[in-house]
Parts: sequence; C-alpha cells; structure tokens
Amino acid sequence: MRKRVHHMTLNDSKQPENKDSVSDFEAILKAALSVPLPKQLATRLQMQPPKPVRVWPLKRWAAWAAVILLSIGTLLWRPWQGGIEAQVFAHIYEELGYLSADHQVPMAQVRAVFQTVGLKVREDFPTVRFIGPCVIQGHPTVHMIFAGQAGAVTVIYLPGRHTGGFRAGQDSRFIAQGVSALGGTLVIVGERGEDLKGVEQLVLARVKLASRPA
Amino acid sequence: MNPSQRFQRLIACFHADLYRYAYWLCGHVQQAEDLVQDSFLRAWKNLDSLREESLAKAWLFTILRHEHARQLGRFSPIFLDIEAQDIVWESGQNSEIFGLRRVIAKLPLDYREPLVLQVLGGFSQTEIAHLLELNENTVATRLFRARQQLKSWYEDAFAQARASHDTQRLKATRK
Repeated sequence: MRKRVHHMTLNDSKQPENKDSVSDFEAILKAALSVPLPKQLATRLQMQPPKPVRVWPLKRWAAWAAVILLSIGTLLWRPWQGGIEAQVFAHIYEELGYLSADHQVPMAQVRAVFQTVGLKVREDFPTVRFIGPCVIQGHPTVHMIFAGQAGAVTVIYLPGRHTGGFRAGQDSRFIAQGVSALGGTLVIVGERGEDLKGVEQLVLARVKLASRPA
Repeated sequence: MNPSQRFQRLIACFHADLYRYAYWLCGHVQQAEDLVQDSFLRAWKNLDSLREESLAKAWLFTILRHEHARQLGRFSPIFLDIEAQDIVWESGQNSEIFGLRRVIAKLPLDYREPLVLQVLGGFSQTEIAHLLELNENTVATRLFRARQQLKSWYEDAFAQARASHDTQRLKATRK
C-alpha cells in the first residue's frame, strides 16, 4: 500500500530511522514528479475541436493559398488600435510575471531570437532576464527584459511597423517611448526614473539589421 | 463512439500525464501547457492514424515529444535547464518533495526523460526504448544513473535530517 507522502518530511520529529528508505524514495520521487496541474486545464483542452474537413488535394492547396493570402492581407491592413505603445503596455501587463525573472538568458538564445526577425546582435547585452518571440495584435515581435537603472526594462521590437517618429507615453507605473528604428519600431518601457534614451542607445549599439544574402 | 467523443476521452484520460511530461521536458509551466495544447491539436488532426486505443498513451507521448523538438528548433535552440524559480511550489508541500524537484530539474534531460516516462507514464523499459528510439540497455543504464543521483541526494538529506533530529533530542535530554 502506498504511504501517505505528505507525512514524510525530513524535519518530521517521528522516528526517521524506521523508514523503509527504498519505498519511501519511490513514493517521494513520484510525488515530486507529479507537479500540480494548471487550474481547469482539462476544461480548456476539452473545448470542441474543429471538425476534420476532407477535400480533394487541389482544393486543399487552394484553401491553403487563400489562408496565406488572407493572413498576409490581414497583417498588412490591421491598424494598431490605440497606438503601438498602448498595445505594448497591455502586453506587458499580460506578462507581468516576466519582469521579476532573475535568471540570466544565454546570449546564444538572445541572438537566436533576434535572428528570427532579421536582426543581428553584434555585441552582448548586459544581463538579459527574458527574451522570447511574442505576438501583439497579430504582429510578431521580440520581447526582451533586462536590468535597468530603475528596475526591469522591457524592450519590444516590432519589425515592419512604424510609429512615424518618436513618441512617448506613460501610465501609473511605467514610462515608455517608441522610436522608428531597425526597419520597424522599438518600444522601450521602464519604471519611472529609467533612462529610456540611454536604453535606446544601448540597444541600437548592439543590434543591427542582418545583411540579406545576395 | 464518434471522433469527437473519442478525442474528449483521450484528453480526460491523459492530459495530466502529458502535462507533467511536458513540464519536465521544457521546465516552464506556461510552455508546458502550450505544448500539451499543441500536441492535442496535432493528435486531433491525426486521430485516424490511432488504430488501437491501447496504444493511445504511447502515441500521445510520442506526439508531444516531437512537438517539443519542433518548438525547440523554432524558438529556443538551446535547452535551458529548469531554473529553481520555475520549480512548481505548492502551498503546504513538504520540503523533501520541493528539494527533490530541484534535484530532478538539474538532471540531464537524457536521464530525466526516461525517468519521467517510467515513474509517471508507467512505461516499461522496452516501451521507453521504443519511444525514445534508444537501445533498451541504454534506457536501463540511464534509469539506474538517474535514480542513483537522486537517491544520493535523498540519502544525504535524510542523514542531515537524522543528525538534526539527534541534536535536538540530545539538547532536550540535557535540559
């Protein structure tokens, strides 16, 4: 019979020497591997899946072509609602947890993520806490967080999107600036007191557009 | 049973095991959930290829494993070891389990993966070898070494706890 794992703590004052160490170990191992499930995971997964569509191969190709064209059209036409900065603010609040990350992302990963949007890192960044490809309003972006002077600084690069020049914004917690750069827009968000201009210079000194093969 | 009902049943039966497998593969709660969702989506698209229900578990685990490899190639070319802050902490859980999770997270993926498949997935060494496309002896060796490393930590921690227990008892006797 399986033992009740939650009663077996190392600091337990009960007689530890009487434990059956092998079965204890296996029970503890299973308990340790059984990480808790996210709330309502099954419910989210059990949403009605799409019905399979069986079509002739030619129709399937035509359908795919239509989807691709529609996606490209949507990407080109979709306006930024409320301005880029507003969308970036909203995104930062959605992923607020990343601001408190305190591990260091390897530079190889930083380079790899920037490479996916056609940018090349020519010089290492100071400690990068998080970097990942994100989608904001359907547009692919790079989301990077590193330690600034006044706290965590978020840099979001939106390739192919233009703000039409420098713009600044703020809310109750953050200050932000957006600037057209690197063939897109660079939005920098930091805590109040952060030197955003300094961060912009730091980023632009380290990243450049990758040269395209001839 | 229609395909939709069949699919719902697969989710109900295997979502927990798949999520935990995904978690120990990628080390992030959110990424693990995304991985499970993508895997089930792929499973739905290929549901016709699942001939026998008895093979469903291995089939789903294989899909998730391939999905993880695909996403790793696309987004994160370097496997990041699970950081301590990503280790799931349940309120009220004991320190022994938390400590062991940290050690499991530090195991190389080559050792961690067969261990998860065996302990959580309930797969035999032969099945794991088939799933991971490895020799059965290799799987046996990795399982042994994984357990050896974890047991070593467990016994050390246990010895410390006993020493602490003895010290407390000695102090109590002196009083």
